[in-house]
Amino acid sequence: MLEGLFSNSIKEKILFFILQNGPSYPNEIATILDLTLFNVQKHLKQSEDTGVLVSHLKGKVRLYEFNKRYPFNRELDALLQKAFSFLPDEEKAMYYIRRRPRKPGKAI
Amino acid sequence: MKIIKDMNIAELAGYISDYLESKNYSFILSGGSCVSIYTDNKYHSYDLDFIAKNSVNHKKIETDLLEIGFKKDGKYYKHPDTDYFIDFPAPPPAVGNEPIRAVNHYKIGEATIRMLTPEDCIKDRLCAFFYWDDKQALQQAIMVAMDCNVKPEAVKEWAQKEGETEKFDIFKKEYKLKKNA
Repeated sequence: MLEGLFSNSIKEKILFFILQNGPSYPNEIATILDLTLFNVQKHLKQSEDTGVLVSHLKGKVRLYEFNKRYPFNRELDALLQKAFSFLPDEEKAMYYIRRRPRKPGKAI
Repeated sequence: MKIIKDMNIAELAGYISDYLESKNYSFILSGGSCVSIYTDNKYHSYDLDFIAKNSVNHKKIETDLLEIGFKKDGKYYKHPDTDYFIDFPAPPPAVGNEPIRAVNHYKIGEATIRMLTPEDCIKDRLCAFFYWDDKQALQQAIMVAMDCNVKPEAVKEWAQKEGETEKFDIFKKEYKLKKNA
């Protein structure tokens, strides 16, 4: 969808993932999107270096999210939201992960 | 001129700002170091955040900074004789959704720091309070407002444009409390 802007589809997928799920960690992104951890970390670092994303440690996990202080954050958000809405439903579903709480041991 | 080992944050900022200017770069000092300078170190920062006003060649900067002893270490530039370090946050210089247009040419001895104006410094700190709920940044904004005689109303319109009127009211209230204490 935005490959032309982002140079490749991996960055687009990562940004879609964070857009849909909020703060996310590299291993989670790599697992759900079936990407290598190396690739995910590389693109996350690039996006952080350019100010698009920020990260912080929560426990031992580094979470990445959109940088609300990025001057084009609102416009980027609108662009990504629109691009995401153009995806086929089955592709949209690929980005979903459960964020609701779940008691330990509770059956799925 | 002092040697780097003996420079305080303002002197070092001026030295680096002049050096970058002499190499035809156009940077503006932003972040916590501006708070340090405007409040005479009531808040002590160690990082000098220089934001490029136009595109720069980072490989060339690396070579140029090495000439004055600052070596790249991860994403920062460090000097063996000082605890202060240089960072180059991603451009463009902005406070929230507003581009930074004014530059304060702050004289420190023979040097000149090209830095945020006190008003933009307050906005910069308030951004961290608005978007990340950083209480320390709120206190920094208040410190700069008090030490530089900037009234909260000066940033009210900007805060409204950012959609943060409630948090602006907290800033104004806490500023008044400190002012009247």
